[in-house]
Amino acid sequence: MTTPVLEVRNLVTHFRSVERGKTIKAVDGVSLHLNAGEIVGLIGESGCGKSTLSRSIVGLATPNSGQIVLDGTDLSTLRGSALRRTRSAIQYVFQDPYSSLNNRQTIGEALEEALVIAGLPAERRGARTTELLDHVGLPAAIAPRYGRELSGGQRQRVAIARALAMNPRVLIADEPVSALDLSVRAQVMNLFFDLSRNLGVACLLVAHDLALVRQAASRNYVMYLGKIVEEGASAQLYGDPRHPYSRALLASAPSPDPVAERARPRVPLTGELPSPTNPPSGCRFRTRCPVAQAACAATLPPPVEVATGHRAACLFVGA
Amino acid sequence: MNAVYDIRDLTVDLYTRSAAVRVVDGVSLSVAAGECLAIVGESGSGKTVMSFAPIGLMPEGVSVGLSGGAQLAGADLIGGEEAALARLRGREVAVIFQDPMTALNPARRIGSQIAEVCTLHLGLKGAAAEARALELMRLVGISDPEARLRQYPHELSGGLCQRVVIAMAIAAEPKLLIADEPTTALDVTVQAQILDLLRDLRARMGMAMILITHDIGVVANAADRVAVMYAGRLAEVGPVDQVLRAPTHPYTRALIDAIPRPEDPVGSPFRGLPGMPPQLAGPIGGCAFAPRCPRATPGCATLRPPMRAVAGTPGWQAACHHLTLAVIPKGAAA
Repeated sequence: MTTPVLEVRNLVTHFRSVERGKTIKAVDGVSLHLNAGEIVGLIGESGCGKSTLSRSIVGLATPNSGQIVLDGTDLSTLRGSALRRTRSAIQYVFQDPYSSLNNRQTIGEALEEALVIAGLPAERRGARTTELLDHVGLPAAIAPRYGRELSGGQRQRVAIARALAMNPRVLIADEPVSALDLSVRAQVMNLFFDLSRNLGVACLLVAHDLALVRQAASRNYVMYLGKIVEEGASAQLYGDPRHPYSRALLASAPSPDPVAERARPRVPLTGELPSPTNPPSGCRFRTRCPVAQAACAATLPPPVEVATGHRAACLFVGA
Repeated sequence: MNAVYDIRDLTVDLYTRSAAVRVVDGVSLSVAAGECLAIVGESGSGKTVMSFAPIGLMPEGVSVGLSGGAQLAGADLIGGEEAALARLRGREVAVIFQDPMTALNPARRIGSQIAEVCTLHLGLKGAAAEARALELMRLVGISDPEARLRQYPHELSGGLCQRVVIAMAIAAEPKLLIADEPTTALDVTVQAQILDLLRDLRARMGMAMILITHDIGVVANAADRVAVMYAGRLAEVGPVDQVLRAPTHPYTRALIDAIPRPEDPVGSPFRGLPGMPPQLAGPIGGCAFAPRCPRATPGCATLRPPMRAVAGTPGWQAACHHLTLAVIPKGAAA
């Protein structure tokens, strides 16, 4: 088995709540790994902790405990400039390319700024800028233009080019296409395929569009209230989801075919996401779960391997 | 069919300091009582402006040139006084916006916000307004409404806030509800509940609904008919089963083709549209989709295609010179 490029072990990120003495358990003991050249999906509803998890990995949020191991180096053992240098191998692509690029910078300036931070000598920056734009399928002629002159799809590609300036081993993409129109999403998504296949970059794709993640990612993690409830290859997870939450989540996405949509079985997922300040005891999904029993309140279900690489954290996973 | 809302040849020009932009270009549509018409299109396609300009909801700081006709329940909307439009808004036509958190006042209790709407549109005062607020909360399926009335928006989830916004919108039993991306800010599991609620209210109150969305899944779930817009014009309009399963306009076809399908192999490339979305500018001479269209011929760039009936289905129309060449895609049983 190959050594993963990024390994997250038992990561915990809690925030202090506005309510005195309460803690928001946004990420509560999550382990995952990414192999080189692999696109991995992270799915779940808003408030499940998927953004906090990705922000903790890049250092935008501070984990309380757990390890982030990049190429065998535990980032928690590093401090200061050594940490910054090592961590630059993990880059982040934000959701909204309209707010992540400075309107007063040209595309060339935005990329050059990243190259200065990467420590590239001035004489090599021009060539590298052209190369970066080429990686994301943009002509070099775009460099003197301003971000505001570009379309959303082009801007997102510039944002990705800027992340590539650091020669990342890992790219964390938080909803990279949800601000883009359907017709231009394909360009950006296909770019992630190119980057993972040609540059060997590992991508963590955080998204709520399940059909999109299914097609893009080879493996997936499903998150609910700060925990991973199921993981598996796309064919396993989308073809045969085993955790009741994954089943409900996958079944609630409407089909674009009106005839199939009318025939789609409705999964009665009642209620709302419980508060992460006071998550249910035992299995966190039990308050909304159609198959929950008394035992679910008593123990936190451990992940059960139902097939190679396919694990679900449910006591009744065999049922 | 008795149209509650009817727009004829609507054109909307926006004049900014430096430029004039035609955002809606000769669109005709109507919605009947109890019917849900979805309007789909990408950003900049004019779907929002087309829906809001006739009822006088436009961004501040731009001057708007409206032409054509728009009638709501028999009343003319264009060319009338702003005061007359203001009387219609909230009573005859109500609006739900995308983000329920910003639609509600964060500093006031839910109950008083709903009661205010009842006072404004129904003339109810004090206890009567509060009683109506409670009734509306029950109508939109909020559990434990007495306790919720005293809560603030930040204490409620996004789905519950959207229910509150819907309660306020239907307070005066409007004839038309315009829902602008009502579930975009919500999770899929909550989205289904809100769409079910809207369908239920529409049937119970005989309300017409315009559903603005970019999500074809939402259209398939909620709409009776769908209008596809491109560059401020209608590309295609018709019953959802026909338009979504056997689109005749090349743009509709490409848009539906771009949706990832369950049978697409994992790791296979995504399908998109070639070229760039249209830039908003002055009127376009020919077909707006011609630069990206696989079927375009030289004539398409110069001559604007009129809306033409698609044979066999009443109410199904598309604006394409090559309509006769339309091929029913495989797997689509019309």
